[in-house]
Amino acid sequence: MSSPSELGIMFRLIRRNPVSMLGLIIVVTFVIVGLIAPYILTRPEEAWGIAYNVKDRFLPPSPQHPFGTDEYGRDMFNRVLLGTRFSLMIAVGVVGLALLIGIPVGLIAGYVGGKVGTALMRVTDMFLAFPPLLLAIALAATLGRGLTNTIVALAISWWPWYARLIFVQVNSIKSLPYVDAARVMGLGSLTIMFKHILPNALTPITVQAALDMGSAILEAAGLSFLGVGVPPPTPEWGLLVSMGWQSINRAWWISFFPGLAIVITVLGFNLLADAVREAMDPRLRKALIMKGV
Amino acid sequence: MSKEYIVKRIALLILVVFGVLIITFVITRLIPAHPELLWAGPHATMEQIEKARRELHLNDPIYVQLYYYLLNFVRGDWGVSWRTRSPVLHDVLSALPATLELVIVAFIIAIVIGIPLGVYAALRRDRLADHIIRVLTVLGASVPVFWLALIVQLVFGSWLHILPAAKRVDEILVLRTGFHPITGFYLLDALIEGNIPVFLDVLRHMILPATVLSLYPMSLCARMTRALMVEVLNEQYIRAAKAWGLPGKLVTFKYALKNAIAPVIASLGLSFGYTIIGAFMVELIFVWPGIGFYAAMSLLSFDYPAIVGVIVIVAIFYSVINMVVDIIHAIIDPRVRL
Amino acid sequence: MGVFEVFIPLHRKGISKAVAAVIAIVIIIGVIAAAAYYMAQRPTSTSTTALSPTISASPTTSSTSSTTSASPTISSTSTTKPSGKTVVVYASLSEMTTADPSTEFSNSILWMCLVYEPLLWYDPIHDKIIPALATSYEVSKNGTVWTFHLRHDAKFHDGTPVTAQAVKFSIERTIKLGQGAAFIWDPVKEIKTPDKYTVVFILKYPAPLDKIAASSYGAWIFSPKVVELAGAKNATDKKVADWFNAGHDDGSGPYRLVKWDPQNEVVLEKFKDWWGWKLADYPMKSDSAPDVFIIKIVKDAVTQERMVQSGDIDIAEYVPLEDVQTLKKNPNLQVVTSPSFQNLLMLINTRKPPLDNVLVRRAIAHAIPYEDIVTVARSGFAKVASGPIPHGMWGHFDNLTYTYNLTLAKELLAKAGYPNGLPRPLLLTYTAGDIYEQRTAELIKASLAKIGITVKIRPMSWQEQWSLAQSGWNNSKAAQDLFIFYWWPTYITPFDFLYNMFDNESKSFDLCYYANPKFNKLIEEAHYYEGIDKAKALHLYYEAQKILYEDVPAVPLWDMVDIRVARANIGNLQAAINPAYPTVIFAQVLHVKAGG
Repeated sequence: MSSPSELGIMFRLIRRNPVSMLGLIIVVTFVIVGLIAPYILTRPEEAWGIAYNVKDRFLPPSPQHPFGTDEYGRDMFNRVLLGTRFSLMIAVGVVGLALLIGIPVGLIAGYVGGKVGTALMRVTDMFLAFPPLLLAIALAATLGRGLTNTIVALAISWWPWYARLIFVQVNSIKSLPYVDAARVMGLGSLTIMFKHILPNALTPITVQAALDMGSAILEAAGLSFLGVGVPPPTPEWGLLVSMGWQSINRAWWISFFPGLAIVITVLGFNLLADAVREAMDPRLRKALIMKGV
Repeated sequence: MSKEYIVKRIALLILVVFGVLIITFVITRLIPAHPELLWAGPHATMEQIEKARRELHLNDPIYVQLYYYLLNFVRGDWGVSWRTRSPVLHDVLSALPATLELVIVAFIIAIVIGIPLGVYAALRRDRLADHIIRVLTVLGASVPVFWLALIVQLVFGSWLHILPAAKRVDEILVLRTGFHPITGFYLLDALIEGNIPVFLDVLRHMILPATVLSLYPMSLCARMTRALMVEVLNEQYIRAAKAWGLPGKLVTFKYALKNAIAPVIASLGLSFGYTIIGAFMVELIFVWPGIGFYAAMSLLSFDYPAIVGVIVIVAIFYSVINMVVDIIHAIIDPRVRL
Repeated sequence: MGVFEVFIPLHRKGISKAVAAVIAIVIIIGVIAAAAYYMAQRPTSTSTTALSPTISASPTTSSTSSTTSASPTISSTSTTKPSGKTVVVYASLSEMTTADPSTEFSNSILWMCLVYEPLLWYDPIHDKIIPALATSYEVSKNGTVWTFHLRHDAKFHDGTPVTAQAVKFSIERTIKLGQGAAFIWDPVKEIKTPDKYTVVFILKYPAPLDKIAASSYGAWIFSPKVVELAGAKNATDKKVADWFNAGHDDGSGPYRLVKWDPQNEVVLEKFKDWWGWKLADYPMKSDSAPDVFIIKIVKDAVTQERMVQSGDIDIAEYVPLEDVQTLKKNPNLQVVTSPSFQNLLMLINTRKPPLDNVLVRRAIAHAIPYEDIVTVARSGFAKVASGPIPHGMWGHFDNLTYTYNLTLAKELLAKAGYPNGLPRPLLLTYTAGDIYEQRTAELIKASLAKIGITVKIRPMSWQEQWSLAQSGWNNSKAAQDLFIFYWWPTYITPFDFLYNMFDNESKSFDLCYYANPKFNKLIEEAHYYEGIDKAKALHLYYEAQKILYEDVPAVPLWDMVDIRVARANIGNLQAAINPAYPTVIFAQVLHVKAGG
């Protein structure tokens, strides 16, 4: 099932739709900027929050400061730019960690089944009973503020979704003829699990996970806004919005631009996710392939 | 509809609430190094800390602690907030109506706008209107509510002065007209008392926060409606009905919408959880005296007893709503029974 | 739910759908009703109960002083309000706490200063005592016997006269309960009442009892009748506290408490029989004081700003400081600034290496950009601190500010053996949610980075950081290195600052773990002379602060300047603010025009 051709089809579908293409471009730009941000800053010290400039407080957007300056006189453009990196770290960290917990749980629950499987899935369901984000908020409040804590808190509230997804996948693959064949041939459980089931269950979930990164960024921003995310002076976007709130009447730009950065990034991920979901819809795909896309 | 299903669903609810309590127990009692310090609150003396240790039964084995933890919740002893210094259960329950009112209005907006939008998109499938609606709904799910709340508050409240920027009602008006809230749902109360000025004022105060909050469920609603309508419109009997010459619009509404509506409601139930977390931030920004405001203030000051109380009540509420939605769903569409 | 109606008539199954909808609605309403019922059951506070018809239906005209039942009538404001009564609405950032005048040690000072009276008021700016319930007082030469003469025409809100007995009763209840600010009465050995209007305090050791009696906490006088009204056995019975906390008052002040909803609003109404209204030349009253004074809880500065601009409130306690310059230009508003005795310090963990080295501490003190902090954190509405005693208070001296000199700081650091900066990062904690502390912390981090000191900032809840700091007494290595910390005095004496933060006997707040017997002896001596020889006391306090300047157990950062923004028609606002009683607006001195 998983093969370059699948991704190829997907890409072709995306390219067909300008809106989806926009999503792809945003996401790629975000990743690139996130990777190189620390090296292209014009005012790195202000961006990292270890320099300030009292004379330049609350300057409105201008060619010199495209996003204006904040209450410390720090250039907001540099702060927002560096924020890209933190959002990327959060996105990758949350999704990666959630997969790291979710995949084994779902795999074991699905493949072993029986009492162990039921018990694992019951625990998973209990986590799922929490409204999204609420558990993360609770954890973040207990763990205290910090980048790692934020990532951990979000990941712990996310893994059950992946566990469930893998569980469903494994269950459907488990009964496929080729798995039976492998079993008949006398291959060990571990071999079957890792060689035959996991690779096939992995593609949909990794695609799903990559696209969930938008939500991770959004939720991390929410945590920071509520004061349980990353601590200042980290230029995380949600925190920047929250810090600008105090002076919003005097300087709307402090809150506006970081928020805009969130909107654009998350929109990119969601547009792409939308396109991919459509592409993965078997009926639609059949129709499109028949049309010769 | 079968009673069995409902009984089963309620049993599941109880299980879930139990699970929620266990998870909050782990979070608040087992993770922190000194839960008694968190429980005793600010400026606690040594005696108060010792008292907190006893109250939390920290000298006993873990299962005994858990037992007392559950017992206290059942008894309604949810601890005392550090910030407000009153019992958490009381704080939480008295803040509940304000939030429910806001969320209900938000959902009404979401449904009233979302469903027609979805239907329209489905009818105009793959045309410009469909693409525009698609981008708008994706945008609706991508905007951080807190940012949007700040922006609309700034623009409509501070710059244009069209709508009140904060609070639930004009207190002076309340004093002047002698408005006495009964249920805590101000819209309802104002109607019961026939107090039209207050009713209109509450409505005006509600526009901005409710609209911001409705954006996510509205997007979801429109997308779900569109997807389901597209699917249903393709199905045989619709085509058959059209072939028999039933008028197009009638077909759409009577048959297609009917089949699409149950899953839409179900998904709205799920988005309730997201919306109520959104309410934490929206209420904080609009100084809306509900559970979200209470939660946000508690979080900002790390008021642990209050945070736990909010988490439990929101989780319970979320589970109850989902149960109700599931039951409705099962009744409308018997196929989905689990 | 119009969506259901669409298909109800179309199908046979429609009935069950209608049933489903009804069930859903019934369940939701049931939950709501249960919540509402529960709230209605609670006797306390919420506006639902406070304005319940049973109370407002019995308008026992409270203004006639002879009313026997002292139950405050809640009716008047809500029902008969607009008819010519002047109302001033004040927005408070914090919720009210408790309503027990003996134990309250927090935000409720805001209304207690209007409802209750102490023996004396104190004006710290002019260092002047203003008579309140006592018209005059004498002190014996050795400072241990204080005699207060009460005015004869003061009445409690229950109609009974204020007597020496009542004073003794009130203060003794406060002492016996031993909570809140009860410690201010520690010097008192015995209270005597030789006649109906004379109170004599016998002290264990000399102390400035006039300042103590003018304290903003724990010095209120209330009627002994509260025991009877509360149905209690004696003054310290918990029933009395419960009676107060149910929203009752029995003070003698110019206003009565008529609505007590501590999380939303507190309504005060003029007490017509207050002695001060009749006194022509009494400084603490006005002939056009507001009839009703409402304290609204509005928890954020931006909203307060909007509400004062729109006229929804008359006085805002807090507005975003960045906006003050713009607000000043608005002809409908006035901006009043006043000194405040609240200051911000950075406590240093003097026992944790390398901070145990005084040279390192001095280096830090010289590497903090005090002026910039004031500009950024407070938009200039603060003064750079000079010693731990704030500007405007007696005991403050102007030459104790550290210079901001990075070269000097680097030299000091090198002399201490760290020419390339400190080997480990320092942990700085501040109270989460406090924007001023947060900005201060960020600037300290940025500035210390310049001399090679890395600072890790951690916002924490007050209780967590305080517990962390407390743990430093046993294990100073585990505690934070730097702790940003507000202090404000209970009553106005330098001793309050110096003892609490720097005397190692004060385990609660000496969170620098500073111990210097010489310093301790100096301030004790100074405190002793306060009531007897003020010049000498002042000199000793100066010596003590010079020791702190050299040893740097803490770096005083800034002294707060309070900002209040009010509608332009609120007259005499400046006089209604007194830094000895933080956050309080003495509404009885305001000039308000009817209908304004």
